[in-house]
Amino acid sequence: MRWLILVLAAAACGAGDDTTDGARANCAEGGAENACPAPAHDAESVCWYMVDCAAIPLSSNNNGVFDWASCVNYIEQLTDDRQRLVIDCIAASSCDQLKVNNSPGQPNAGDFQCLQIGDQ
Amino acid sequence: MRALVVIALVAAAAGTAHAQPAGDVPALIKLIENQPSDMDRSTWKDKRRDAAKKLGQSKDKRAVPALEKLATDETFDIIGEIAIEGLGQLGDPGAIPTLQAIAADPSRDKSQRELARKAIAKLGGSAEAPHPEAGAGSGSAALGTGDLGSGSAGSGSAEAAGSGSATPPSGGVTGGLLGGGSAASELPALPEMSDDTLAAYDRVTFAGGTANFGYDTLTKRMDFDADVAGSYAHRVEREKLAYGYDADAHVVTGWINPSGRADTRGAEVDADGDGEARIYRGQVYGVGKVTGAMQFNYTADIGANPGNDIKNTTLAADLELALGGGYGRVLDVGAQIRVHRLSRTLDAARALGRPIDAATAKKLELTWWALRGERTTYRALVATVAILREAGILLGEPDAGLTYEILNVLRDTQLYVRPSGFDAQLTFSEGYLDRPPAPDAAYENGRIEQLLALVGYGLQLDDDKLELSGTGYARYRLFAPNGAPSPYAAGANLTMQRFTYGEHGDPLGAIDVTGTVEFSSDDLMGSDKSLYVGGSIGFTYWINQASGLRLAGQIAEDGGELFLGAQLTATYGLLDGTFAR
Repeated sequence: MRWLILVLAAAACGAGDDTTDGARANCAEGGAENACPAPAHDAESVCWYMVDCAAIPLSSNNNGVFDWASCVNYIEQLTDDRQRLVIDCIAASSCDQLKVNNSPGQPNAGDFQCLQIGDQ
Repeated sequence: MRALVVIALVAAAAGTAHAQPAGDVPALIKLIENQPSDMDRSTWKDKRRDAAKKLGQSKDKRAVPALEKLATDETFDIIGEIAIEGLGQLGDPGAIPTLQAIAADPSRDKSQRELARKAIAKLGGSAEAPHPEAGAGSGSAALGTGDLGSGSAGSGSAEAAGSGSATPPSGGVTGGLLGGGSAASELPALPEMSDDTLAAYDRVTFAGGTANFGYDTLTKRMDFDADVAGSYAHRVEREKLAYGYDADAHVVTGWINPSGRADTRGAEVDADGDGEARIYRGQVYGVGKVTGAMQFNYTADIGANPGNDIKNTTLAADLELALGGGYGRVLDVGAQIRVHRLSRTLDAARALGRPIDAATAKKLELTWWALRGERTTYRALVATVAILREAGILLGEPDAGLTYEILNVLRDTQLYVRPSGFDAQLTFSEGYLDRPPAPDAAYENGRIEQLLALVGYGLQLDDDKLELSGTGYARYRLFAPNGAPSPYAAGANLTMQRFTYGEHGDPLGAIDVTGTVEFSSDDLMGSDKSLYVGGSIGFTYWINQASGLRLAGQIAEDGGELFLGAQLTATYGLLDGTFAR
């Protein structure tokens, strides 16, 4: 399902704190014992899954931090075939597969293996 | 003396009760034949049965043709059986041919035929009356007309053969609309299920997902991707023991090869399995769970220019064990609801001879289980009708309308995974996670201990058309090494679903409302505790076979951010009207 997402307010986090984490799902920690339903196969949903997994922050005021909005923008500008592949890869991954160095606060987009498939 | 007086009074009272005024008979016949305009169908159905009973007790021979018609035609309703009994009570030997025809008709229900034989005996019918059991000792032909339905009325008299035309022989049960009789002997082998089994399921899913391949000579670009998944789950809930296990495998792979040096290849393989066993004492249980998982990733991203190539391979594995206790259980009662709907469908069509008992319900559910691999619903339909008729629940062969409604019940996809009950458990988990070493990795690695809580809830209401269900979870990492975080999270969601059906059992759509709340902490430096509160509502409605409407809305607040979403999808049209000569 494709949702028309409107971010109405984007600066409610505390002053001086550049990152809003977003709430984590049960599967964010603890290995395979803690399961989550697979996300829908669209850009918004798989990026939500990355927030749920504590792989990326929900939002960041710092330019260059790969947050939810950056994730959606990145996937949607890909060609259809790469978009499909990236979405399928994220949706099939466990949370620990999605985490990289400095997750969830300041991850580097280039470290995500699923995103590397779309990197051309 | 006192006893004699009592007997006399009782006899007088009985005589009064049986001797209905003669003038009532035409009124009773009229009530049976025509539904009064000021009476709804359900009330009329009951009044009709009462009227048939009264006709049978009336001792008035004017009631005979009306009861004969009911006995002959009303094979779907209990009123047919009332009429057969009534003909015996009325004492008119003129009804014997009709009753003989019913007794000899192999397409009639066994109980109806037995009632007809008893009525014939009351009327002093001939010993040569053509009913199967009577002929069993002296002639094989009559025996053959029994359940096997050779089509003949046996060695019966010309009188019986002649009257047989009133209820045309269907050629035996095998020649019926659905061939239910022969199907009874062709029922599939049913899965073994012990008597103390409360519920069980077995689910096999192979999801091909998507597989795409493309190549064009214009840009000389090739692309391929595939997403394939499969899962298996099995669970048995018994009174004192419950166990279940499941396994999943998922492969995502792709290869994108434009012209030139650039080339991207990737593969991800995930496999996991888990098992759970519970030992119950009343509603309280002890539980043990084990989970294993393996994840493999391969990525090769070859750049257009040398020096930008990336190749990555990672392997991760999990093995975890949890022990604890809990209270209650949540069962999937979808099959049970299907039986309830079947019963209501037969009752509405006046074809329910008696309620579906537990043994028949079990046989139906296991038959559907055994036939779940069939490409069509045909065998399930035939077997269902055969089982219901054999049990004397379905009166006669269903007509086209009732067959359609039974088929709708059997095909109803809204009856899969319908939870019922309450379950709460608390476990301590010990596990070992094998992850690729990385100095600043945010993931847990090595030994991990957790406290886990799970809650489940399900309730089916309003003739099983309204479902309330919910789940809850909480996790907290214990004994984290110095410097490692102890994250925690808790969450719950509640869903209400309203299923709607058309007049003949066609699913018309559903309304679903969901609310979710989650609270978590990563327990990292500079990280906040976060709260998510969200809700969604969806409405799906099928206007006709070519038209539908879907309206959905969502609102969520997460970490101070507000998200709103809405979607409307609507199509309207009619199926093609075509003609060709």
